[in-house]
Amino acid sequence: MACNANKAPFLRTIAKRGLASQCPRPLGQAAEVKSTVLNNKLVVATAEASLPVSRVSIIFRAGSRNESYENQGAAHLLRIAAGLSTKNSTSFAIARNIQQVGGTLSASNDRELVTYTVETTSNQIETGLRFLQDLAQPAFKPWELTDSVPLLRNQVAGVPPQVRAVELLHRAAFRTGLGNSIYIPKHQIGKLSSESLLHYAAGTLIPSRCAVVGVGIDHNTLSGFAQNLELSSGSGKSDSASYYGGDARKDTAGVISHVAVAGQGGSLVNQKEALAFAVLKHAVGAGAATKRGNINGSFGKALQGAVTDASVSLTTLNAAYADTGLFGFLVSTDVQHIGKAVEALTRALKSGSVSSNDVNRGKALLKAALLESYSTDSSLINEIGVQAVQTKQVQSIDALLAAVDGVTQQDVQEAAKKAGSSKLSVGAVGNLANVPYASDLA
Amino acid sequence: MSGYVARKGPLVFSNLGKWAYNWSGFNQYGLHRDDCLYENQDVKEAVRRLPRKLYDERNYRIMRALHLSMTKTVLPKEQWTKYEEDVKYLEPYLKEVIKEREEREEWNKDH
Repeated sequence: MACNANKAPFLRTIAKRGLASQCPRPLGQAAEVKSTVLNNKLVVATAEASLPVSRVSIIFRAGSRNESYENQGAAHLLRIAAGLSTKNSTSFAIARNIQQVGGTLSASNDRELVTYTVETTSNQIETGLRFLQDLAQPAFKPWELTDSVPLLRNQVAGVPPQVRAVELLHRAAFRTGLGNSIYIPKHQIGKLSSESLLHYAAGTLIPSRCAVVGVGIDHNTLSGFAQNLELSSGSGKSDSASYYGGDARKDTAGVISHVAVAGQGGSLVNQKEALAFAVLKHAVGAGAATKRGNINGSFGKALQGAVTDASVSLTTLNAAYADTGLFGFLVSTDVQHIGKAVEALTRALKSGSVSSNDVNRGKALLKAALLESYSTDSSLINEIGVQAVQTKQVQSIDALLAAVDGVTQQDVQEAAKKAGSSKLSVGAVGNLANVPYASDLA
Repeated sequence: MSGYVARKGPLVFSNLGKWAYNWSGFNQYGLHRDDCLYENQDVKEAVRRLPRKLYDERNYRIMRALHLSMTKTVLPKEQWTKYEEDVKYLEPYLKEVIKEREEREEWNKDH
């Protein structure tokens, strides 16, 4: 416990006071990031020691891809459990103490990660951290799980159809693991026992799958906090995902269809490929830059060519996971036009050609997006959190921008070819009368 | 759950305690001590938290006791609950409920 001294509150106050004389960085300027890996493989990363608001996240690779068939929905319940009692404190104590210091405590989950974040003014971060560390030890009291069933039903019922299309796309593409939905399946609500959830938590909430990141907090303080974090020392399984492709469809009433189509994309581990796919996303048209504006790039143009007289919305999908990814599009329009729209966009996806103009525009857009995410504190903590827990290191914004500049047109074309030539996956929700199957799109 | 193991028998064994237990008579209906607690808010909440099996067993014992009381009989002697075997199944849950309530009261005093 080398850093135990940091636990003493008066030492932290001194560290804070010393740094408070520094001038805070000008608005919009990217922050510098420090990261270390502790002996127990836990990653700590911080940016900007002195800010009026401190944010700290504990991130675990405990997302829905780690669920088995039997405990599907466990990751969703981990998120829900952030509001319930933990092994050391009751939900009442957590809520009231955080409220009393004007802080917020939030939890989010996706396919890879479960994130707990606390935000308080920096003189009150002590209290925030005390209850944040409790969240890493959920108790899953059976009666609290039963009480949260209506909340779960409400959340599952509120999932928008576009998101359901993307969930189905993952189911079609990866079947198990990454194919698991972020949301608990309806048939699992109220069925997951306290024991199976504790087992899931013991296998995933462990130091080697964890990162602690902070914005507006001193690096040594946070390292000391991370060092003393009480986590179970189990070893969770992590199996690599394999890409299959195919269809997953859900017919519902109405005249609108939401269709997500994708081929295999790049993984986060291979940074060059991941960046090439990120550039490609912006090059083919990530979305309209102005309200009700046109979407540039080959996807946007293909859609405008195919559907001229109907309202239609298009989003380019680029999902990069630890070992694989998905690249494609999500399109929504009425049942008369969806067939033409999907076919035209699939042709654009499979063509695999990207002009140098498009690549340059893609790079510029990607760089702007990166700068933007590094220059506000709330998005910066997400950004460095994901990097810390997935790659065990955090890159400075300059290094990232240089890497984006290093992406060539060749790289982007290879990425486009990879996505276009792989077997396609189709996830569709809505009126599916005219939605083609994956085998028809080949 | 592992944290909720019920205590069996009295906290401190004594002949006086045994005499008082048998004299009180509820054991002749096959009840346990925790079946006879007055159902205030704390006890109601603790009963709500009981695992299904314990909850059903409690209800069964209470219904049997009501039936025996109605017919003005008691169980055969070998089925009476023994002083040493009285399970305080509600105690861990009740303690937690009381602690949570006290925490709330304590908080409301200061804030």
